[in-house]
Amino acid sequence: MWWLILGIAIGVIGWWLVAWTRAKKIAVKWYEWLLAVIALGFALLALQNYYAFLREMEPYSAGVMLALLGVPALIFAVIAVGLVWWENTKVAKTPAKNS
Amino acid sequence: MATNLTRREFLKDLGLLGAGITLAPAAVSGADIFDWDSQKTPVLNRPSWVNTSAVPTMEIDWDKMERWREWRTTRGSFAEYVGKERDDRLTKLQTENLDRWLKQNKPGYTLKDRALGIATGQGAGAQGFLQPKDVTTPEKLGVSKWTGSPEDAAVMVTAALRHLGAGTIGFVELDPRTTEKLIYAEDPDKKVMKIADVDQPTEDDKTRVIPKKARWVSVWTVPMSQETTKAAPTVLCQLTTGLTYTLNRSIQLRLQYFLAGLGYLGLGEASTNALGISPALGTMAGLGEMSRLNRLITPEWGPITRVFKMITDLPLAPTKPINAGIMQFCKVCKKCADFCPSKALSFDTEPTWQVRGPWNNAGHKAFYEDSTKCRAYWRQVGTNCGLCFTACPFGTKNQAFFHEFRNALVSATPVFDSALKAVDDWLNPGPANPELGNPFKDPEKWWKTTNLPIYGINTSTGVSEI
Ligand code: SF4
Ligand code: SF4
Repeated sequence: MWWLILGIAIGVIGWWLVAWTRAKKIAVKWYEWLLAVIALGFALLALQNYYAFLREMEPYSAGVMLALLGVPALIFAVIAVGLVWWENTKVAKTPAKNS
Repeated sequence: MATNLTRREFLKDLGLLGAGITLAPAAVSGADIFDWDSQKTPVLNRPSWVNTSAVPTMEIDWDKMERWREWRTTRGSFAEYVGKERDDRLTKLQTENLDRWLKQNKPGYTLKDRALGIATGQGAGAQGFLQPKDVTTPEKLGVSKWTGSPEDAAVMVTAALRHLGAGTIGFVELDPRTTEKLIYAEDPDKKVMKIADVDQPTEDDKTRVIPKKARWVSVWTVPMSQETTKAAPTVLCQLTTGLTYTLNRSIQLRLQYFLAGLGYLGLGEASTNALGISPALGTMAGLGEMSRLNRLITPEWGPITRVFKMITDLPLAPTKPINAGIMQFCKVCKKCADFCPSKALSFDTEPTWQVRGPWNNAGHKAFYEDSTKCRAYWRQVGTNCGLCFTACPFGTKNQAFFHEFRNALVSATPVFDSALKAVDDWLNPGPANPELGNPFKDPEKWWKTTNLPIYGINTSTGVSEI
């Protein structure tokens, strides 16, 4: 049940994110979306393993798994957001030619 | 004259006449449902990464193998192997340690642990080689014995055993040149196990006779509680083993009644670990693979299970050995050997034909253990230890995705075995305080956990109705 709710939430947030970036005219390259999807994949894996290890009554292993999968999730997310931010601010700062 | 409603009347009463006709074709034989060539274990859902194989992952030299005398293990001959003096000293130590730890309230050895341990051994069904005398045979009911194909019989017995409390189930056909050698030559009580051309089995003071026509063995697991095993090597850990044996005595007795009710023999274990070599029969039946523990590791519960068996003359379609990469993984893992406080387990990278002592049965290429070291540790802590079981990566509860991922990868290729072992070391680094008798996991926490599964076992393993 929780996974269904999470799936719906991810779908809604993803749809909103695409709409928001378009409305704000934020350019997002395909590889930035890919990085975001990889980050999401790691985050979901971290979440599943963390809670499953807790259910298995192994809190120490749960923590290890959260670190092992959560850190890559964070790294990918930071790279994705950072790239989008950097490219868009770079575009904004570059003086328009022939205007 | 019929004394009940006819089928037509019955369905009419239920208003199901049409539905009954529609449902009728659903009744097909087991052989139609299961593709026996590629089957793993009938009926049960084995994990998708478990592959069947024509031969087990442990090499066997059947020519070198002889029927084994069970009492040659350290269960029956420990004093002979270590000498009377050491045996007496260990007996004294066992009594002293258990007594001291009880009075000190050492976690896992307290009064409540001891009381539950004793309680766990109660209420077991009668255990015997021969079927009980009061069985209701088809003859008594005035009908002929059950007949069907070996495949149908295997499906039927699997369904029955699952209902009676077994975990996974497989079947072995006895062949005098090979698998028959896994039936003991002598039982733990030193009675000779004769396989003879007789119609009925018999038992007297010196002998148990198995009729040659009884050529099939049902082999099954009864899982232990993984969480309780984590209290190794304490009394609390030991009682999950005890519970499994108690539960199985009822399973065995009921299977004997069931087989007799169908008109067939059901020859059981006369006592704990009797009749035949459980890990070997489990391996041949495909319930698991042999391992560095020189015991069976199952894909479902790792080593945290017990294996039982019964000989019958009901023809049963044999199940195949499996290859899930477990034996291969053991070559790089060695975690159980590291955890073992007595250093009884092999640290070799490859299995060997060379036995470690007269307690080992030759004829298979294995990681032979020094059973006397293991047994000596058992005596010091007064339990059956089990620390090596808690070490095994395959003994996890398999709820986390990582376990499934690891198992699938291990089955597919040995390339990642070292990396997976390294991850397991992070997840399960070993006992915090490996002092004599100290538990791997705090037993006092166990006593405060009120929502463990029934018997501590995840009984939904292999379940197909959800
Ligand atoms: S039961 Fe204990 S002593 Fe025996 S092999 Fe396992 S860890 Fe070692
Ligand atoms: S702990 Fe490692 S080496 Fe030992 S039985 Fe389990 S997988 Fe094999």
